[in-house]
Amino acid sequence: MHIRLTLILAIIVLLPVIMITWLGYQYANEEQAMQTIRYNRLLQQNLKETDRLIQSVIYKRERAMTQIIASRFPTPSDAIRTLIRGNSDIKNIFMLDADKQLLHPPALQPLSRAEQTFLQKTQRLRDYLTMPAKKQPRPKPTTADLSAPRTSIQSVPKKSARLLGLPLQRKRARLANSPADNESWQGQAEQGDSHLEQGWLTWFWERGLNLLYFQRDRAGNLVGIELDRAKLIADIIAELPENNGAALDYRIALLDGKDELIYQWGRQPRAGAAPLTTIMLSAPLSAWKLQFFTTTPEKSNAVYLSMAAAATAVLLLLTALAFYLHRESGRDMREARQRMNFVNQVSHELRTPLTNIRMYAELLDQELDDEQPAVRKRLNIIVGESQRLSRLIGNVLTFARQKNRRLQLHPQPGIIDACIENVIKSFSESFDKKSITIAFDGHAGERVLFDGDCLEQILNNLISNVEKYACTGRYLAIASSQQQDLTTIIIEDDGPGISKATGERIFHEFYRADNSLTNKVAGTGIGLTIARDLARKHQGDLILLQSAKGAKFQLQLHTPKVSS
Amino acid sequence: MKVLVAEDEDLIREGLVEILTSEGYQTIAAEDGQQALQLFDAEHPDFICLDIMMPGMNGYDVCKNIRLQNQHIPIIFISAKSEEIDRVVGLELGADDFIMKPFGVKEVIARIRAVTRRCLAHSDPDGVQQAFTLGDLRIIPGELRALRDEQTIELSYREVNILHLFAERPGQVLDRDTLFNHCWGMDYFPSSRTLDQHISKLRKRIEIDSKNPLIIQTVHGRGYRYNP
Amino acid sequence: MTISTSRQRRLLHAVCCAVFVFAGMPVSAKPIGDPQVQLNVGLDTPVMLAGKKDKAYLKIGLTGYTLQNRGDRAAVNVAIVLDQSGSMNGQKIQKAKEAAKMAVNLLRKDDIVSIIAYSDHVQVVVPSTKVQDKDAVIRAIDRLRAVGSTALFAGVSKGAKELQKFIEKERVNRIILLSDGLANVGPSSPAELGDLGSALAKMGISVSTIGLGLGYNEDLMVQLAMRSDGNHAFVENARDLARIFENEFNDVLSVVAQDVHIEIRCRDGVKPMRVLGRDAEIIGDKVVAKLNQLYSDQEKYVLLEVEVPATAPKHKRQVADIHVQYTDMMQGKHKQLTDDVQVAFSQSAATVTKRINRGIKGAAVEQISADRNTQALQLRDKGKVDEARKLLLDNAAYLRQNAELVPEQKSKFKALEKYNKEAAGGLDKKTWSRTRKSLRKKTYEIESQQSY
Repeated sequence: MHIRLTLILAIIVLLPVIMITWLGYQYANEEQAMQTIRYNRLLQQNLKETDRLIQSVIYKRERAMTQIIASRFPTPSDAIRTLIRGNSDIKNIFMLDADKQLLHPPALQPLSRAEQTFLQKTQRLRDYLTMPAKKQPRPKPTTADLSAPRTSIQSVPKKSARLLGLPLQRKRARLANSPADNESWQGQAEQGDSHLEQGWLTWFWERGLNLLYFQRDRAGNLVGIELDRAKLIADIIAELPENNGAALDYRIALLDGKDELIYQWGRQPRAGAAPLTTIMLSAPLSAWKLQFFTTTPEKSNAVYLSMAAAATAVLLLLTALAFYLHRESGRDMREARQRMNFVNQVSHELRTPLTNIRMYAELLDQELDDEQPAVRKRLNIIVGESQRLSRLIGNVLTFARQKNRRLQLHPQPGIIDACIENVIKSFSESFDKKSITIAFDGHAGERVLFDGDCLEQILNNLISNVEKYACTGRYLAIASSQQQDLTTIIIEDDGPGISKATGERIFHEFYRADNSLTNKVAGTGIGLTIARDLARKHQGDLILLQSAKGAKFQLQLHTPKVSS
Repeated sequence: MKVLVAEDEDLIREGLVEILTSEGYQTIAAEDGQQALQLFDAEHPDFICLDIMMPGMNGYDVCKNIRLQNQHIPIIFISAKSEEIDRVVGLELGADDFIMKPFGVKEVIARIRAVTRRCLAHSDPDGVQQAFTLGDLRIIPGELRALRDEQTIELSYREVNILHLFAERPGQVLDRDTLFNHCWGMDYFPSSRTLDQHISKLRKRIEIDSKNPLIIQTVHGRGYRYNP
Repeated sequence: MTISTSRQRRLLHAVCCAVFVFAGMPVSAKPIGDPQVQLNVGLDTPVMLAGKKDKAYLKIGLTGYTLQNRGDRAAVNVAIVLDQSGSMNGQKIQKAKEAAKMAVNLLRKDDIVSIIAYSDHVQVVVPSTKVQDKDAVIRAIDRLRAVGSTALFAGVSKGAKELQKFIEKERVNRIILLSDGLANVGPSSPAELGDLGSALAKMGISVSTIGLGLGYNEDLMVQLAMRSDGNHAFVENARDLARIFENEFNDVLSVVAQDVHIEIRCRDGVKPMRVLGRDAEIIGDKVVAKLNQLYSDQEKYVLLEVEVPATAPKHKRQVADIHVQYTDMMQGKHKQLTDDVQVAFSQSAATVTKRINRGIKGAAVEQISADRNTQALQLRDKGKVDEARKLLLDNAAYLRQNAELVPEQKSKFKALEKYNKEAAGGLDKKTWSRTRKSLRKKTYEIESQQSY
């Protein structure tokens, strides 16, 4: 029992703790993930801002190039060369006429070494740009190869060339006018090979990513401008933030397509730290990436720690509670046992003087002559009362033991009727006094196994009830019968009786039909409870039968026959 | 028959002694377990009444001890300890019966008589063996009862002895002393009142009409007589 | 009567003033008449051997005019880019800071200065600002600490950005870059830095590079300087930094012309082969070169190797037409200079020899020797120590021979000869690093006609 209680308490403690821990862990995980997502989103915003900065450089270039091409682009080669020499953004230029013939660098004239290399570099690009639209293959992104300079072309389609926050606003007609951005290019983009009209080409050559801007000029020539790579990078670096005293607690790094560092700013992260988040740049620099490093150590564990702390707290609390309950119940049990022992002790203590009272009263009775009936009468009262006291104590003990499930029956061979007669005899004196006749009709004379003390106690309780509550009546009738292993005893009186409503309740503990202080009848309310419990213990039962007058009880006991 | 009573409660012990004596037994009393054993060794009683809760050595131990020496002697436990386990222990130790306090005198008498019958079945060197007739009574000493027609009358040990005496000397007047000598034993000095009480009680039992006794007749001033 | 009198008086007044003005000795700095950049063109062999295809060297020399007064100089827009990587820690950063501070003190109120420090990141210590409060600039320089790696490209980029805030054709726009280590963050190859240099040159910005110690990449530093037409210095000991800075600043403060475009059009079958010591574009028969600036009293030149077809004697050929454009800093005007060169032919070798233009010849010898130095350096890089040494010793011999031929340059050639011999002796592993840096510096000095 003790173990069972401990087990139950353990389960009560552990189960919620496990649940809380598990739920808490899930929650912490989710929180963690949420936080990481949120944080990453924030970082990405930050990085996108940087991307915008870089895009603005590209955009400025594009505007510059467009202006150059749009407004009276010089045709003679020398003029172009002069332009290149004076413009630090431009590395080189080619120009193709409407028939796809190379106007510059001039095909049939001597070229500088740089121009020759340039033509070599841009052969494939020019082929690509001059291809008819339908045959245009889908551009595939390829990676750089340092060993042999090859060109791989990535056409930046119109829509993706839309710059963040800086919508590409072009109009074909604009080529004729001075730059005025009004309408989106969108509407005209779908016509024919219009995607060859203008845009960026990126290709990998030698050191890395190279950008070429192409556009048709007023005369319908296709002009391709190779941007000076070093200048572009320098301008991008110039645009990006530098470390200026104000301490940032992060670092952002710009890397090229080969994952080599171009530029970085912010505080140095821990050695070997991985970037928290990475984004690729927008076109046309989509091979490049931005990385975000944080210098503060991850606070990831905070959520887990707090969850663990909560779980631990709950665990401690529940354990404390369990201990307390255990102790309390233990105490209760201990107290119960102490009370039990006390009850036993008390009853033991009470029995000794009771024994003496009864014994000496009876001894005295033996010495009396018949000639002293008054004295005998008084002695009988003493004996009777001591017996009554004895019964009461017996009831209390039985009750206490029954509560503790420690009551055991000891069936012995005997005759039911004899037992009943004994009980009747012990009440005869007091019933005489109250002028109640006891009529016994006994037909249970067979020798059977039964616990005499038990039967006695039941009958004592029933008959003393009659004595207490049905004393207005005239008689008490007891009838016994036996059938096979069952003995049936009917006890009825002609007192006030018991209503059907209270019928069941009278068997309940401590129930007394009338509990008022003015009730002059003494009683504890446990008599019938005990009587029924004992009957049931004896594999029988005690029930209240319906009766026109008075109370009528039926007692049945399982009484197996004894072979003498 | 000799009976040993061991009980530490004075009143109960004395009460028991009186009951037993009244029944016709020679009674010796001990106050604790040690004394009980000593008396057992010295006096060789025919059966023993033991209380369990005694100072020094408790009743169980006494019982154990006695049983080591004598397996047959009847032992009755008289105790307030009435848990099942106590009963079981007692019976396991070899007791013949277990009387619970508070007990009624009649209960004690009945149980003791039952034990006596068992004793007599074994041996009773001082006692009466054969059944005999007294008037219309047939007395069976070994069963401590008398029969009239089909009715059984329970008798005490002394009563049996008294009746036996009457049956042995029919027509003779048995005076007080004679009766005392035969039926009470050497150690008792009861008053004449005691005798009268006993006879009176016996008459109530065996006579059809105790006011007009047929079997035991009073001879005023001298004693009693059985007239067949 | 009254009116005529006043008119006469006024006239007299004017005449007197004029006399005074014209008679008076000019105490002002301005000379009478604008000073000019001198253009000197010529062949090393104005007379060549007839009947044989041969090569000749065409020198186009430009000399800046004298600045009368330091106060005349053009306003300056300078960005000082300092290396504050971890390797600079200690004496180096100390000396660098001192040098920078000294340089700032040389500037005037209408000059613009910015200070950039770079390590693994870049810090703009002093953004482009007029030198109003020198103390504030100096204090900012003082706060520099050395830690981190070397983002040289980024440092120069930020320097260029600062310069561009106040960039003007009327100013001398210069970046002065100090580094003691290898660039390792961002673009770090000589070619990439060279590309940046030429892009900056197009904007009129020159980068002078100062290499400190033995740990820097001299090829990178020289490429950057060369392509942007700046100066290069090799400072072995941090103690010399201040002096070098002073030299550089003296240069900066003595710029008389900027944005110099030289166009050489070869004629009459003459073919341009290569330009020695400088970057130039050769397109067919046209050669285009650019110089970012010309310094007061200094000559810079372009040396063009040409191939002259076989010609009959007594015949003349037009070698080339030369056209120079530049911006005059003092007058703030665009100016042009033109000239042309002819060659004559003779059957007499003695005549040819007698007519050798020794000055130009000297320049050619210098450039050739510098070119050979570069070859020796490349050989040694490939591990061919012996071949490198041989080349250097041959070069020394070559210089000695020509010391006789060109007596005006004797001392110079002798010094160069000695230098080559020393270099030949410094090819072993222990001293190679130093030798190489010294070689590079020397070569560049010759090729660019650096003043210090």
